[in-house]
Amino acid sequence: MNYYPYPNIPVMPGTPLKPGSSTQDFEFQLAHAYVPWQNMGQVFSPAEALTRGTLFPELVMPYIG
Amino acid sequence: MWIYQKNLEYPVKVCGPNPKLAKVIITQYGGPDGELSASLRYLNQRYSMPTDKARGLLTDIGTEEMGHMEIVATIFYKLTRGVSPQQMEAAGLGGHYAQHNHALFWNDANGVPWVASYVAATGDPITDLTEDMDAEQKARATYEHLIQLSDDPLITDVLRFLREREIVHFQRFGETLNDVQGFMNSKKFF
Amino acid sequence: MDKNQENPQAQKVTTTAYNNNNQEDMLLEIQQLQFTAIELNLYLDTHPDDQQALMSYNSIVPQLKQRIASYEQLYGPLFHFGLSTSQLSWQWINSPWP
Repeated sequence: MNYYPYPNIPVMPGTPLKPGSSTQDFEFQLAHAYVPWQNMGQVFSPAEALTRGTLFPELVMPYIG
Repeated sequence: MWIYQKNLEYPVKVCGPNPKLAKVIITQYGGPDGELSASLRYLNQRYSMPTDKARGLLTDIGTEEMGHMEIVATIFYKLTRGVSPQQMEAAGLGGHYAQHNHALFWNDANGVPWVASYVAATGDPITDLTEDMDAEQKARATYEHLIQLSDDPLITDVLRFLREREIVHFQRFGETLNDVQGFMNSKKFF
Repeated sequence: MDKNQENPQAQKVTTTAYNNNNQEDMLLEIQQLQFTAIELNLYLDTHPDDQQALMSYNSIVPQLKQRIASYEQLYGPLFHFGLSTSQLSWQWINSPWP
């Protein structure tokens, strides 16, 4: 189920914006921090999830040191 | 209320005793960006969060961090098990041995004890959630330094797991920050 | 109880292979399922209306409970404070502790 018009738009699903506005009207505000919303897709098996430290392939960001 | 579950979140195996590695890893037990700081920070901040979602997330991540403190404790315990006082001394753990023998203690890699001022609680949810994101990044960076220092592949594997958890937690705190900022704005406008 | 019980030699040579009666292997399965639950739990905290995540979480719960029950049958309680029963004697205090 998707609440947001595009992936990675930092609009809180279901949070009212200004009256009559839609999520498309969301404006980033200066001096605020935002993280893109994750949209769950395919996930790892339980065994692979534990090995990788996350269930979500899109959050796998290994350290290449 | 908390319920204890008698197993680790992630299994810990070691190649053998390694007090030098134990000495640096202890910082994730009782250092500024360690797991004690993390768990207490989140479990303490939840009371001043404005939404149930934020309270729920801080409870859950704070609880997971207690499990991470247990993992780090297990690593230190296993890396120093059976190590002689002389070997402890040679690894830079002479001071630790003098005060604590083979017991665990909350200090950083240089032996500086844990203090509550490692944790902030301003009561401002935006500030506190931003601190939480910052804490996750500092912990991630520390785990990367520890991975660089690790000469035990089994420990490196656990460190990689713990590092990846910081990334997932950062994402969840960021989403919660989006949410709380939206909530605070809606309070202003309506 | 599988073939490894009848043939103790098999247990020795297959330490890395899957062995359903091995305490560590049974615990690993619990750790894997529970980690999946933790991940879905944190995701649902910020996406409480995501039906796919909710269904996945709900489907993990009975699997995890079943694995915990089987483990506890063989190796004693994983939980204290009224969430697990103990057979014969108070097994909570027995090893392995983390």
